[in-house]
Amino acid sequence: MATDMRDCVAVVTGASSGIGRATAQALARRGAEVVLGARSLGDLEAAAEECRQAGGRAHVIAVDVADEGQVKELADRALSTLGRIDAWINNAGLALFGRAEEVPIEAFRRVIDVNLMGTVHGARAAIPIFREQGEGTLVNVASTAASVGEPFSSAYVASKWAVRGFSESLRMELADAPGIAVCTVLPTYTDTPLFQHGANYTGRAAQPAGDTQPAAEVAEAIISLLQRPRREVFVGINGRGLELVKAVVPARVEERMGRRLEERQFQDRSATASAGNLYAPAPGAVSGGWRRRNSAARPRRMPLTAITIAALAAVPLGLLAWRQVQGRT
Amino acid sequence: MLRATAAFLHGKSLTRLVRPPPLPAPPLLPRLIRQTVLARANGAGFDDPQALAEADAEAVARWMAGCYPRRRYPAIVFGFSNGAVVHLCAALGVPWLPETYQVPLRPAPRLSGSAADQPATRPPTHFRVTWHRLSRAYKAFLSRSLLAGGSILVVDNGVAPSAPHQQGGIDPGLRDDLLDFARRRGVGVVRLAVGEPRDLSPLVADLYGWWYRRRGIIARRLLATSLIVTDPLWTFRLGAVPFWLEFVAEPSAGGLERYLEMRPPFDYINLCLFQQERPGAEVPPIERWHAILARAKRRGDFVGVDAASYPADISSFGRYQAAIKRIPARYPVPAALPLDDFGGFLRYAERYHLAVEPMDGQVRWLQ
Repeated sequence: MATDMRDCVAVVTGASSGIGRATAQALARRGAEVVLGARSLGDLEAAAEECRQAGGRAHVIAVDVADEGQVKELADRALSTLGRIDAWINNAGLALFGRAEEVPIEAFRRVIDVNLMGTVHGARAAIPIFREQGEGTLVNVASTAASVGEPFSSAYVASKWAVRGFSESLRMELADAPGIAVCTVLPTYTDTPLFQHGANYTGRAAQPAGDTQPAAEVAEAIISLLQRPRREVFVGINGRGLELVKAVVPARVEERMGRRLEERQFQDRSATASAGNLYAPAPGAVSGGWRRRNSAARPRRMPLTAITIAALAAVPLGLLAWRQVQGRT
Repeated sequence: MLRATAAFLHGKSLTRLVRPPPLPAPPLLPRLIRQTVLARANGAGFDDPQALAEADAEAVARWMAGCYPRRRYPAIVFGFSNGAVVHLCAALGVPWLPETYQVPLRPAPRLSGSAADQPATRPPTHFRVTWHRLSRAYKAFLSRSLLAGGSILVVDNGVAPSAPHQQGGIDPGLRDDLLDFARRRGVGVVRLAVGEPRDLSPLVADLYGWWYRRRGIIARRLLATSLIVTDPLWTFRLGAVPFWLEFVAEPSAGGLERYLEMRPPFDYINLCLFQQERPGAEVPPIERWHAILARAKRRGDFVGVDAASYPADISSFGRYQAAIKRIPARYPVPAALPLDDFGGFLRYAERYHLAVEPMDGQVRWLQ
């Protein structure tokens, strides 16, 4: 039985598709009042209808999060209609596949504008409302790509590292407002249409490089953050373990990650260079259909013992690094 | 008010404004007793003139200057007790040195003091002590605390807006000492001349509103506080525009009404009415304050005021700190507003019926 969230007013960006749409549904199932924002009104209406059928109340507002004016307008309309905003989920995101030196620079910039600046715009719209209310939860959707880089996704990776760092800074800035929480969600490969709809200049069709989790799992993680805010939550991966391993053997992790992505992130079939959904929305859906395709070939997970050993090794190294940082003042 | 300013410059809230009245459950007490308690709520008081004489003015000045954090300030404000000055000092991050102070007295019929605000037929509750010279403690404070090229800002009462060059309320001896000090040190002196203390409230309120908007904060809340109940730290924390009421009486109520009439409506209005006995003053009925609260677009509330025991509500002090923290808004406390920015804002000073007048030396931030 879902927890009752009938008193909760939540704004979700990128709500027409993927994790955003799944999150809106999860909120609606708990009776929350959801404001869905995305570029495509048609898809938003369909998503809102799903929310209503799930038992929630839903409103739609067309928004391109790269435009701060539009995001402010989204916040103003939500606030004036509903009287308060309890949660703001910065989820809207785009993907761009290709080498940093080969992709059009406008495409690179657009990814930063939506993924990073869209999050910044959302935060700047939500925080003044939260400050006046004295409470509110901001959830920024980053990615495990904000822990370990990936080749051929430098714009996406850079934007997600930036979102994670931005969130960390925000938490510090908001330390004076104990009722306001800033949470970062770091999902691993998730079954959404991101891979089909992303801009792609690699010449090959993209796919998740590993097993995917359903978007609903990320949505549940977001719900749990609204109920009990935490700094950062990895979804679908032992992110802390991965970070510890990387702290101990960074070169090895980069090398393996690079090789693995190169091998697995692209399909055999070729794909013409395309800006994907960078400048115009693609049809929205929760799932990208990856779980059916990938179920046959599950990638091997890193054994837990290896993670534990690495973690134990990381502790003294971490302490040493900490003392060096402290001594640098 | 000095303690409120000093507490803020120390980065603190003023947790206890004054010694709270000793009697509990005020509404149960007869009105006369409540008023008597109220009259004595400001502190211990002195019993006779001998004790008053022993209250060494130099020691008081030393204590006052010693309240402030030891650092260098771009300006130091001189002036009479005024809640709007407290908020101005908080905005500029500068200390305020009173040029006068009151010594509380235990009501004793054999005293016929010179307290200006008391009619002769009633025993005085306070003596007012005014400095006629710049005390050694103040001079030492100015020497060690004013930044090179800093300014002394004199907030002067009793000056008709139409005649800004008239003498005003500052004691001529003190003024000459200040100017003399400023000349020796190469410090600029500026006079902010107002007719009545309350005339400063609209300017300070608008300064806060303007500054909040510049910081991207919509100034939605007006917090009107009376007399000495004023806490700059919590004003910032609530993102509130402070409006100081000199007394819970005319003409302060009318001043607030006129201010609200001339501005776009605030979403929230909070009123904290600390009632001090002021014989002869016309105390507005509680309905009038309710009508002021009703001007809020979203919500108007008293803060720590027990409307049932108004106007002799002696416990509002005790309730104020807790009540103000129950307002949910939480904004950051900003770094001090640079004097140059304040100087830019003061170009509109005429709108507020007050005059800004350089008295001596170079005052770069006013140009």
